[in-house]
Amino acid sequence: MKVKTILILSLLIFSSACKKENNRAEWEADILAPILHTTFTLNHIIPDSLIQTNPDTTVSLVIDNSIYKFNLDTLVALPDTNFIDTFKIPNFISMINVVPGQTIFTDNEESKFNISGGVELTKVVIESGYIKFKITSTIDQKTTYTYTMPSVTLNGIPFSAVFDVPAGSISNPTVYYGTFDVSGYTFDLRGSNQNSYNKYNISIQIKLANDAQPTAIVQADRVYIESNFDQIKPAYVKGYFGSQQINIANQSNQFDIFKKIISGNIDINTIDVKLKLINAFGVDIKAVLNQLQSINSVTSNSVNLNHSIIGNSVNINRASDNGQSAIHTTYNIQLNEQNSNMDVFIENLPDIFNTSLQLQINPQGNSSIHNDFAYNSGFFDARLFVKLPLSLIASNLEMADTLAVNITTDGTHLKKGSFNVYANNGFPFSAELQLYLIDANGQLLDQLISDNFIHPAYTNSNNIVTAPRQSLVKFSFNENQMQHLYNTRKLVLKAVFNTTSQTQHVNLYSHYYMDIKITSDVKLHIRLN
Amino acid sequence: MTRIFCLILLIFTLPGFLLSQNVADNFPLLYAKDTCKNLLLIKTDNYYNSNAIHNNFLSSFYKGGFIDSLSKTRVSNKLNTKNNLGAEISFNAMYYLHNSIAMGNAKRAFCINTGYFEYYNTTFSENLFSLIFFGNKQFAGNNISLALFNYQKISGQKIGFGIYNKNSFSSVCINFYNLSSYQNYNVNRANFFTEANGQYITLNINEQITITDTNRRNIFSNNGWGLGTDIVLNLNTGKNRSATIDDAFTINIENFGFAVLNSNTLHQAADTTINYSGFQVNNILNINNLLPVNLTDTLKLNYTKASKNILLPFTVTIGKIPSRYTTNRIESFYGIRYRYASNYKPLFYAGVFIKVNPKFHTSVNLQTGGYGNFNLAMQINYNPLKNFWVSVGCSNLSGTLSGNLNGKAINGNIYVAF
Repeated sequence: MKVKTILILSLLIFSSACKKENNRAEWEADILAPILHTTFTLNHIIPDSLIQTNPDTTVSLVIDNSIYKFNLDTLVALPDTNFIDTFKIPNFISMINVVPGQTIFTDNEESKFNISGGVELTKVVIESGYIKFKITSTIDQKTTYTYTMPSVTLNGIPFSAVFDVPAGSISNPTVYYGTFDVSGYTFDLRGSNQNSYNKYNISIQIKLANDAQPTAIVQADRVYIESNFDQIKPAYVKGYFGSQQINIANQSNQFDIFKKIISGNIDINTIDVKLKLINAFGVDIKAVLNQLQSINSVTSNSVNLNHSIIGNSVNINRASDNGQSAIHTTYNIQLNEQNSNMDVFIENLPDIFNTSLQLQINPQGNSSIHNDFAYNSGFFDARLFVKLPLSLIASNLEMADTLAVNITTDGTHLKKGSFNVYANNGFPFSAELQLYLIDANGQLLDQLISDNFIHPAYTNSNNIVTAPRQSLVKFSFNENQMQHLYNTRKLVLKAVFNTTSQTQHVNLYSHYYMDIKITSDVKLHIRLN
Repeated sequence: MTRIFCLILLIFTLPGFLLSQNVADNFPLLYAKDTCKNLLLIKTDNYYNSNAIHNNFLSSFYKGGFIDSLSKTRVSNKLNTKNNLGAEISFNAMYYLHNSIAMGNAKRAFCINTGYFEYYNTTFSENLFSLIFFGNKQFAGNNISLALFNYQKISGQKIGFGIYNKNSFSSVCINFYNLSSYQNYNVNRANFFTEANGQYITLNINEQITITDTNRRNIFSNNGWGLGTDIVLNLNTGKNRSATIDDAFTINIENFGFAVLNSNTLHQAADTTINYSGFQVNNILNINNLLPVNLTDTLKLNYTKASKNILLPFTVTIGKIPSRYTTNRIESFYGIRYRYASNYKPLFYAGVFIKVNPKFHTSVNLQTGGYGNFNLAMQINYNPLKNFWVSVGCSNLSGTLSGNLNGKAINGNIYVAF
């Protein structure tokens, strides 16, 4: 009885010492800690490629955007041309006996590239590509094929492919596939008499292989040769490129610089815009810009460019050839507030440019006498070059950005508290911040509104910053909102900007900056792992 | 016999029950008969204790569960500048070849000693506890010291051979140790500062870490070898052992020696200042481009591998022990015990040993020191069979029975003479 009592008592006392699996210690602690810090200038907000610092350290936004561009493959497209030839003995001969090494068939043909658009090429240098063969043969011994293109040369040596085709039979012909690289070869497409275009010669010889057995070729024997050029990419083309018309209707191009602005107004002081038409082909091009439209997809507002260029043709001269590459020509069209509505066009804060353009190649016909040329790096590019001095008035200019977030927890998690934004603002504008929590289904979970805004820097009468200004912006969240944060997959940050002056344009300088430190003042639920 | 077997099984199969500073275990001296040829003493001594951490808190921390503010505050109210938490698990078997003759002297015989031990102890500051369990917000704007902090764990096995005096059971054993684990984290300086608004945190720290091979964690892994000695010197102050009144003192030195940790032992030390001001974002509009603070690099946690020599955590006990030769039914005992460990305070104990009847003895004592505060201890010795004693004790009765107090303890002894 005594022993049993001791046993039970001991078990009761010490059973509590056994560690349970999967249970972890948890407690709550008040944590005050930094999360991130950053200093940003205009160079951080705007990519280096889009910003230019002027001699007086004011800053201009420089945007050089293509609104339409085409390359060589649009101008001259070499088709995957097929060549098919069939060999048989003449009908009046019932059978031919052949011995090893004896020629069975020979043929010389002139083939042609069927190039659309009236293009007449005299010369093509191949950058990369292949010639492929499919041979179907009933000859019952191994045969040797020699496929030669005398006008296709590499370093002066004509292209020649020699290959053996295994024996077949009339009932079961052999099928042979072969591929040969023609990269670097030059095609002289002037034909046998050197006065034509798009043409090249082919010579085919079929012999009984040297190590074959003597055999007889009968009437029923057939040899089919099918060859084609595959994945031909020219490095250089020369000839006449035809008088092609290229119509571009409602070509849309994204314009990202204003994409994050969702509402508000911006008034720009001056603007300098050029429409550049660049021709890097050795052909004359006539261009008619029928429409250039600035579209703000957020406000659905669009502005058509009003300028004398619209609807009127301009001629862009051909590029010149220095033997290695094309030296392009550029046709510049200056657009400003005086000769166009460009200020309204840009202040629409477009995120899309819509272009309608008509191009005619060789408007004067074959004036070069088959001396049009193009390198594979050739292009025609219509570009909009915008230089926008950042001297502006921002009025409730609302920008939004979306961050993908996925806050996971392994048990330790935030319960409630606040995120505090300490800003030392050296920019002459204020910023009001809002956070929107979006779940995986795109549904709005919650909205965190700050209790304050980031004050603008101190400025003088010329709206030039004299000293940065400190602000504290606090985003508080309760337990429910904190749960929403854990379910958030997209965090939308909205900021509303107002310049210190709403009547005078405010210059932005390259040395302006803002320091931001974000801290957390939270109750942390800690769970040991 | 079955009941005895159950009791033995209970004591030696309870995992990890942490006992006490076992001060009433001088069984051979108390109960040996000269006619016996062999004596076997098996002991287990298991306990944990702290000056501030109460059992409910430790239970939640160790076993899992929510540690509420009340529980944390109760610990916090008891914290001193320097606080202790320690635990020990030990199993020992001492075999006396009572019939043998050692060194040509009939009064001396051979003994064999073997055992397993795990010692844990930590020292921590009140600030460190508050920082971890209440957070750093309370310290915003103030520079606090988190030092001193030390955590040490050592575990291993030993086997020893020695000789003893058949009358006094004074003995000397030379022990060989297999160290299966050794960990030592030492922070001499840790000045912690949270800026008033939480914009940055700095930690000025001086710390050292030594850890044996982390790939060899088995309790019988070999991560070092040791050599040491156990010395028991029982002084029978009475000249005539048949006298009715006699006194005895003991000087007991256990595990006095050194160990060599093997060459895979990891070492790290740093004397540096860490300044954390959050993630550095190069471009606020490209939040994915974060430059996280690499705390491992900042702390310079570069481990090197090398052998190391350490002193074993030896124990010294000096005190008056009950005598087997007295006819008094009640005897006093008292003494002091010291453990060579970073935060073990000298343990003072005093109590009475009561011979209730020839088969049932008990002792009660008060003790203070070690890893805890004042504790009440009790030991019960029972003689169910001839030359067979079994004993169960607890050096922290109140803590063992209450979750609101600190520490738990149990010890068990079996003594067989045959």
